[in-house]
Parts: sequence; C-alpha cells; structure tokens
Amino acid sequence: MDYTDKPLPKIRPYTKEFWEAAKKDELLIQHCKDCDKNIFYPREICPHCQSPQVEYIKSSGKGKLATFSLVEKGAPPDFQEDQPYVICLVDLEEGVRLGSMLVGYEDYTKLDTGIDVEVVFDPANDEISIPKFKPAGATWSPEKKKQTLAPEAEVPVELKFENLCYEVSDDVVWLTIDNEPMRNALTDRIQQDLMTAFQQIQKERSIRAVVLTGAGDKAFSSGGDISYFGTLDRVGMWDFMKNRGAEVCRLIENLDKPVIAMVNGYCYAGGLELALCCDIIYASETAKFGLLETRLGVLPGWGGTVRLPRAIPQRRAKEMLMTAERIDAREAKELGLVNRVCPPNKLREEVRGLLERMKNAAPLAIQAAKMVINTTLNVESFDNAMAVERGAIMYLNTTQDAREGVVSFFQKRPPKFIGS
Amino acid sequence: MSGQNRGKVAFVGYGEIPTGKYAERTSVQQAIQVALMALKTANLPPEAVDTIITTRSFADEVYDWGIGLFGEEIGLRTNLEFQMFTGGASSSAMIKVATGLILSGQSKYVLMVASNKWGTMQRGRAVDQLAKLHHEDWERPFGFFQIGAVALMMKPLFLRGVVSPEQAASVSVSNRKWAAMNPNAMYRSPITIEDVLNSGFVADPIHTLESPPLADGAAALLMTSAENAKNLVDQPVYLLGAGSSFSFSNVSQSGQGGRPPVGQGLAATVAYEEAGVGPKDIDLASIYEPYPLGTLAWLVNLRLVEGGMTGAGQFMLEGGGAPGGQLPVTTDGGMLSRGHCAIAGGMLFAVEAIRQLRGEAGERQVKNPQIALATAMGGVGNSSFVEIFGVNP
Repeated sequence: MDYTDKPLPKIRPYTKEFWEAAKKDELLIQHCKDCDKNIFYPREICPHCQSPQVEYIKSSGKGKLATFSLVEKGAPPDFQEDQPYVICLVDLEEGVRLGSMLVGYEDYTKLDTGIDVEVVFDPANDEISIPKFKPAGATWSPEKKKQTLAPEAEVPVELKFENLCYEVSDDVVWLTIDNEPMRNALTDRIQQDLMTAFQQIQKERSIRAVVLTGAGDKAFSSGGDISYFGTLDRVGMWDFMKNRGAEVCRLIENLDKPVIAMVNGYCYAGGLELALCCDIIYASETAKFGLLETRLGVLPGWGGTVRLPRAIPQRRAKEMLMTAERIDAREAKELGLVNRVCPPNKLREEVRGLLERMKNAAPLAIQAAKMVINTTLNVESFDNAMAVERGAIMYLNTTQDAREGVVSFFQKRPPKFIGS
Repeated sequence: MSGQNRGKVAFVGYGEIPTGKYAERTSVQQAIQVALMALKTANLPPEAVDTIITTRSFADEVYDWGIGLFGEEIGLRTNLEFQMFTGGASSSAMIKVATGLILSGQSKYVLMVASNKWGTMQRGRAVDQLAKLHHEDWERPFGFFQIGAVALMMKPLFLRGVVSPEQAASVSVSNRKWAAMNPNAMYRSPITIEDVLNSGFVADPIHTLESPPLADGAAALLMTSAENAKNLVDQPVYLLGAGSSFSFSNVSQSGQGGRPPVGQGLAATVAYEEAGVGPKDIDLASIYEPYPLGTLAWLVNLRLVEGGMTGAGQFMLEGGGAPGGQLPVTTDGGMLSRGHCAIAGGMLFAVEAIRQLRGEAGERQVKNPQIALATAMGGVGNSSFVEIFGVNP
C-alpha cells in the first residue's frame, strides 16, 4: 500500500521499541510484570492493574480472524484510492486482540471468522512498517512503493557555460545569453550550453520557471551565428539545423515549466525563433522582431517559418518574411506576438511581477496547462483535443495540490502548493 | 422502586429545524434558530437562561465556536457557559450534567444547543473528521473509520445467520415510513428492502441505504426543575430516569465482534431503575441508530423485544417498529432518513420523544403516549446513554 499521503503512527518513547521491531518484521505485544497479563495496543501503564511495569514481549504473529469487513466505499479521504480493502480484528495466540488489515486472501466471499492468520509487514517508510495479516500459508508481498520519477537531481552536475549565465533566484532560473559584442548571437557553444541548461532544468523539480534573456540593453539575440555558413559540410549542416538551435526550441516547448522570454532588444532570426517557443513574452519598448533569413537567401531553420504564422496572422507573417521586415514592440503587442511591453528599465520588475502572480497557480496545473495547450494546438479534432484536456484533469484531480486548492478556497485563505 | 431523581427535572422547551443540505445557514445561525424556538415553546424570556451548554460545531466555517461564541451571538450573558463532547451522545451527557446542576441548585434554566454542518461541509471533510475520532496510532493507519468499525462488530452476526440481510434492511424501510410523515426529515420518499439490498456495500455488511446521510441540522432543549416547569408550560416532559455507560474507545478493545454493545444494557438497566419502570411501560422508543444493526442491538439491550438479535430483526421485519406496529421505534425517521447531523442528530432523538409526549408530532403523533425512551451513542458504542421521559413526574 502506498503510504505517501496516509496517516502514519507517531513513534513515541513507549512505542519506539514496537516500531523498531516491526521494521525487522517482528510483532511485539506488551506484558505486565505485575499482573502477568498481556496487553495490546501498547500503553505506558497496564490497563488491567494500572502498573507501570509493562514490557514488550515477542508475539508469534499467529492468531485467528475475529471479524473482518470489505470496505468498498466511504473510506476516509486518505484511503479512498485503496478501496476495496479489508479491515479486520485478529485474536493473537497470546490472548490479545488487535485491529489491522487483511491481505493476501484469494476469495473474499470464502473468508470466515476463526480462520488462522499470520502477521506480515507492509513497509510504509524508513521507520514504519505496518503489521497486517494474511491467511496462514497464503503468499503476499508488499506492493512496490510508487515513486516520483527523476528524483530531485542534485543541482549543478557541474554546469560550466561559456557565454551563458545560469542564475537561480526564488526557484526561478534566469538564463542570460551573454555574447554582447555579437548582439548575443547564438554560437555553436551557446546553443549546446542552452541544450544542457534546459535538460538540467527539466530534471530539477524545485525549479518553477525559467526566464530567458540577453545580456546588455541592445539585444535579446540576433540569431544563429552566421559565420558558420559556408564552413560546414553536409553532416555539420544537418547538426547545425537539427541538433542545436532547433533542439533548444524543442526542449523549451517540452519543458515542464513555463519559460518566459524577456526580450530586451533585437529579437531577430534564431533569437525570435527561440522566443516563439517560449510560453510568455515580455518585451521592452526598444525591442524589435524579425525573421531576416530571407535576406541571406535562406529561411528560418528552427521553426520560425512554421511557428510565426501560428503566432500572428499568416499574411502578416508572410509579409514579414517576404520583406525581411523588422517590426517594433508596439506592433508586436498589437499582433499578439508579445504579452506585455514596458519601458526598458521596468522590464525586469514586470517579469518579477509575472513570476509572483504565477504563484497563484499550482505548479502541476501550470505544467499540465502548458502541455495541453502545446499539444492540442496541433490536434485537428476538437474532440481529441478535449480528450487530452480531460486526461490532464483526471491526473490533476488526484494531486495533493488539487486538494489544497479546494480546501483553501473554502477556508478563504491563499493556497500553499507543494508541487505534488 | 425508583431513584431519587425521578421526575425532579423537566423539559419545557425544544427546538428543531429541517435537516438536510442548507449551505446558506451557518452553524451559529442554526443554533440561534433552535434556541429561540426552545425559548418560545417554553414561554421563557431569553434573559432567564442562566446556563448554556453547547458542543463542538462540526462545521467548515467555525469549527469549535471558540469560547462562548454562541452565547455572544444570541446576546446572552449567563452564569455558566461551556462545551461538552462525547460524540453523538454529547447531548445525553448534557442532560446528565444539567440535571445535576439544577438539582444541586446551581442552575435554574439550562439551555442545551447542538448545531452541525456535515451536510454541506466540504466533501470528504466530514468523513475525515469522523475518521480522526479513531486512534491515530492503532486505528487510522490501518484504514479504520466509523462505518468500518461498526461493520467489524456486526459482520459475524451475518456470517452466523443470526441476523438476515432482509431483517437489517427492514430497519431502514421502517425509519423511512416514519420520515415520510416528518416535514423536517432529509429523505421522505418510500424505499423497499430490495432498494436497500441493491444499494451496494459501504463496508460489508452495511449497505449504502443502511448508513446515514450526513446532514446539516440543529437541536435545542430547555430544562428546569419540575417545580418551575409547571409554572411555565401546560405539559412539561419529566425526566424519569437517565442511565449511561462507557466501555471502550478502540474497536479492538470493545470485547465485541458480533455481540450487541454491552454498555447499552448497563445504561438501560440504570435508566429503568431510576425511572421505576420496565420495558413493558415504554410507549415509544426514539433509538439512536446510524446503522440498522444499532437499532436491533438497542431493542435487545433495552429488553423491548425477545429472542436476541434474531428476535429484534424479525420484530422490525414484521413492521413491529413501523407506523401501526406494536412499538413505535424512531418516529422521526432517525439518522437513516431524517439525516445524521452529528451531535445535533443525537439530541434530536430526545427532542422527538419530548415532542411526542407533548402531543405535538403532527401526522406521526403516537396515540396518547405516557412514557417514552430515547437513546444515544458516542462513537461506535463507546458511550451509551438511555433517557426515559414521562408526561407525569
């Protein structure tokens, strides 16, 4: 049984010995040295003679089923998911009765009181194993504990970047492309570093969002480093087109956390292609946007030709490509390409405000919203799209944060989300 | 022979509001409504009340009413105000304490109020509150909860054929027949034994229609000395006897498992002795029964039927406790149909007995009852209480 969200017994000074033994698959009961009676459940004094002279003794773990019940519905919230399960009372050979769960039976309808049962232990965590009972001779082994995949990665797997700055603040990664002399053009190394950075961010559960920006006040990024053009052979060109910038774009779109493009200046070509993959774009008034590759006689190769007409009206996108046009922040806002435009000195503050407002939403709900929107925009059937949404809700419904969301709503207080 | 307390105190007022899902009523508002009704039926000005006893509110909005919230909201300053709790039997414990306060001269008019919001509490929270009454080390981690614990006690009765599923189901059917005549009840449309048996198990052997619907509700009682009562109302209802017994907390320690709770019988004996009456004198039994087997166990322990649990089952199956039967049982529809509004739900059994004795039960009025009995249970039989009321002291 998965005990992650369940009430577990507390280890108290007088029950420590019991739970330590249970961890070693041994069932203890208490015995009163004064009146010689056996006791269960463990207490500090003997309930028969009120003597404090109680000691633990080992139980054979064998007994008879006194009564049992299959719980089909109506279990407390913490056990709802485990229904149906069987609760029981067991009379141990040592003459005490305890409450427990019955496991490992074959046919519930054939169970009867008085059958022989024996103890088994279900590990709940590192300290507690819950004693349960199975029909004597039956086979039973504990269910493997459900776990969250990709356990919290220890932060830097020694992240060494050149021309890419990786800073963590308030559980947000601020990624700054730092190649100012080239208007933050994306060198092969920067592209590789961006890939490494996003792969690492995906693994770190504690990170809730990413802000992507450029160093200085002139450019977000002017795009791919075109000095490679002409120096790459066919194989090198394939990698340049598919396994660098385009891969960064794919990583951003697939990242389980929101990515915010903080566009602080030129956002051209490959730079715009990265921004187009981000979930939200905040831009300074000085920002400029354009897919200028047609001037070089080529096309955007990291999805710009594909994504731009999905982000703004297609004829405007065609016009921009066909004239290698740069548009300003004001028009970008009108076209819906960016979410918000503000003076350059207010940009960071605005983004911080956005990150603060994102705390109103549960991290898993944000993650699911991104996945559902990104996936369903490419689904032709409305019904299929709805099915994706439905699936996500079914998943979210079972999360602790969904429970907290509802509870806090009714208690009229802000929710405390834990991302679980 | 009767006890020295017989007929010394009396109920002069009672209050009840419809039981069900009423999101717009807060627990305190409900409490105020029933308290004012109790004062009105008693012809007593509010300022005469010198003692207020309340209990846990089991609600989303104000869980425990703090200290004195109810008294403050209704605008009363009294000599004494406090809360009491022993689960569903809290109101019966209040009656015991109120009796002592009045007979010792410490209180004159005691207002007892319970108001709960299980019906419109956030889904799951009521069940969670109930589950938290179970031992945090030795019951909760094992998936134990209220209905499950009762199921454990009752399952062997079915395995051994002591009680048949039809007999148990007939209690729900009988209660529903009474509820049909109670405008305050939550569920009033008729049900059949087949409906009950087809409603699925909550926890084997308890079916959905054999477990109580959680409800919002409130109740109030106003008690004073027999002397004062006569000056206030035409028909005081006298407390003839009250018995109680505590026996366990963890179900593993109940010593049960197919046996009707022992504590019920002890409480019944004390109540009968104090009242100086026997089972034959009882004109109606208002039985606290979140589950049908509770009714059967009470009937046995109150010695109102013969033949043990089998006899009790047959009595109910043959309509013995239904309208027109030999002994009216749970005439307001009880927890199973009127609805389980936590502690208020417990108090309503006494309210119903008192109302019947005052001849104010409308369509379901039992003909000319002289002596009525009410029971209550805290937890799953942990505490048991029996009260016997009469129209004469």
